Amino acid sequence: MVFEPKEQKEGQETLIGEDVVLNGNLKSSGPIQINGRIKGKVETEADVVIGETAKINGSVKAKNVFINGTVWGNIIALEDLEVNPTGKVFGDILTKNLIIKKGAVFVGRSGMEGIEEPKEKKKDKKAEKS
Amino acid sequence: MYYYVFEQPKNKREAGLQNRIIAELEAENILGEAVIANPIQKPKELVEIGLEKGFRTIVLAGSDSFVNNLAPIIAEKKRVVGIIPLARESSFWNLIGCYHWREIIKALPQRRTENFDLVRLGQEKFFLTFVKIEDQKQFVAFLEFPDFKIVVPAKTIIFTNGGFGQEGFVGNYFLLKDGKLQVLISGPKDEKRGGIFSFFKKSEKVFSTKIPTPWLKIKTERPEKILAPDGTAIGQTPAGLAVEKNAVRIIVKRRV
Repeated sequence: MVFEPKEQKEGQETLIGEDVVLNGNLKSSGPIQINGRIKGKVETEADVVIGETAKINGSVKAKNVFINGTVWGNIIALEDLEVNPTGKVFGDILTKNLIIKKGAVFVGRSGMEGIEEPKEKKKDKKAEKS
Repeated sequence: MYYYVFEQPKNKREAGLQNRIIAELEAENILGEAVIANPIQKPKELVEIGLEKGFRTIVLAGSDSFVNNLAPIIAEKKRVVGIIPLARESSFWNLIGCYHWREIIKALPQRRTENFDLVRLGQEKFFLTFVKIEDQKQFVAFLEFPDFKIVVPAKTIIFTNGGFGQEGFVGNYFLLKDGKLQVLISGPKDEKRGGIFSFFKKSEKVFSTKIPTPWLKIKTERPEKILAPDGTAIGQTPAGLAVEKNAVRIIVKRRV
């Protein structure tokens, strides 16, 4: 039998269980799934999944962020940010692709990275002012 | 020439297997010296004798606990470790890349070695695969990691050097070389959930928390025993665990 291990391309997965209370900054290079309570920053180069039972007091930065729980803090998703029906966000968000599902709560400002306001609209606004 | 230390056989079947392995080593002309542990000569003493005699490679043939206990002694002296697991469900098969002792016998003379991480428990103890804290009663654990602290009610906590172990999770070869250990926590709520399947058997435990880290400190509300894979207590809380990267050199099968 030929044994051929495959190299790990990204860091190890981190899981934070429902009963866990975490104080401090959770940084990783691998995917993170949170079901417990966190007081501090969450940051990874991979994805973050925030479970229904999760409560986060602090900012979140990741490639893709999927929210099913509650976040009090700003969120930066370099690719996609998805707020699912059970998700609640109280803070500002910045992402390339934003999906907010029916029933989700979002209180804050949103920005889309790499997207500029169309020039024609800007001209219209100037015209309106004059 | 290699120095072979065999675990004391637990039954006739194991004794027979050891004899077959020794006969095969003789037939392949790679026997060197072989010793079998017994009530008078403990495995640790036999390993120390082999080191004193100047053998550059010590081959350990036995259970996972046997190898876990002895490999760090050999690693400390910067000698090479060979492993012949004697149990089918051993966590070492994946590490060495062989699935039968006959394959290992073919791999030994090629002497292809790789470095793997060891985990230091406290100041003096080391382990290669995993240790655990297990209590019938729920206990509260306070764990300190490099950037954060957690508080969690638990019934089982496993500290594993890369997913290797017999607790229902299949080993990942690369995790043994990544400079991190994994903390797996199973709480009272997890027991009600279903088990997870592995290659060998179904685990009765679900680990809802999994944290990779280079080091950690653990405290519990009451002292808890830290157990080796075979259930022997090798320490107790409070304790500190830290990974020593590339600390042990092991003979493996050539990986293609």
